[in-house]
Amino acid sequence: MKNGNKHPQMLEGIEIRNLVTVEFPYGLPGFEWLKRFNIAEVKDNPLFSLLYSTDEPDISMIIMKCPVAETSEELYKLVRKEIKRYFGANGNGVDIYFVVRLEKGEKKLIANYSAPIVVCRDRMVGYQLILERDLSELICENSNVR
Amino acid sequence: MLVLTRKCNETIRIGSNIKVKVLEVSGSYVKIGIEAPLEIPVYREELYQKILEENRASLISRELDGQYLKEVISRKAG
Repeated sequence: MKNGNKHPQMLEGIEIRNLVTVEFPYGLPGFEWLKRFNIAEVKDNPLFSLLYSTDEPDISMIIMKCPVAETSEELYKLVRKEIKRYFGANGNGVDIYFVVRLEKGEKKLIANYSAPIVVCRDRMVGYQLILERDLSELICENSNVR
Repeated sequence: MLVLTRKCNETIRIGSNIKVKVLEVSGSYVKIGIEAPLEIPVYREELYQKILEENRASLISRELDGQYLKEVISRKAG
């Protein structure tokens, strides 16, 4: 597990329980030139983490761990083909996250369910998928997240 | 931009391992088949642009109050 050494200013005051560095061979849409990101898991909150570039820590966003069980057949039917494309696996050992946008005025968090970030835990390699279908219906039916 | 004219069932090769074939032309629609290595992602441009814009809009602003972020991120789902 490798740790980046630059942290975003916004992380000050937030307790981190785990920090991992993930390689994104294609970067992320909009930030294609950035290939390495840290995932900082927030203490006492298994749902949210912060994702930020190791090279440009101000490029940071909130991500939410997929609230649907890793073993969900339905979920993997939708993303398995894509996961197999990148990792040559059936989805085991792959964490799924969604980028969350902060609605400043209303303190609302809005997840983007059509572009999951998948991270292979063994290789610490990640990709942001772009799905033709939005996963919101599946997520809402199978969790308490809206 | 390189512009090539192709008929139905004709192909364009990009590099040694990507093929783009015109499958059908119907009115203003063109059906295209793409053969590319699995690790090369292929997207509709408008979908890619949409995600690109969503990602940019999701950046945590430097001006954001740290306490506010802490408060928001400490909330549980629901």
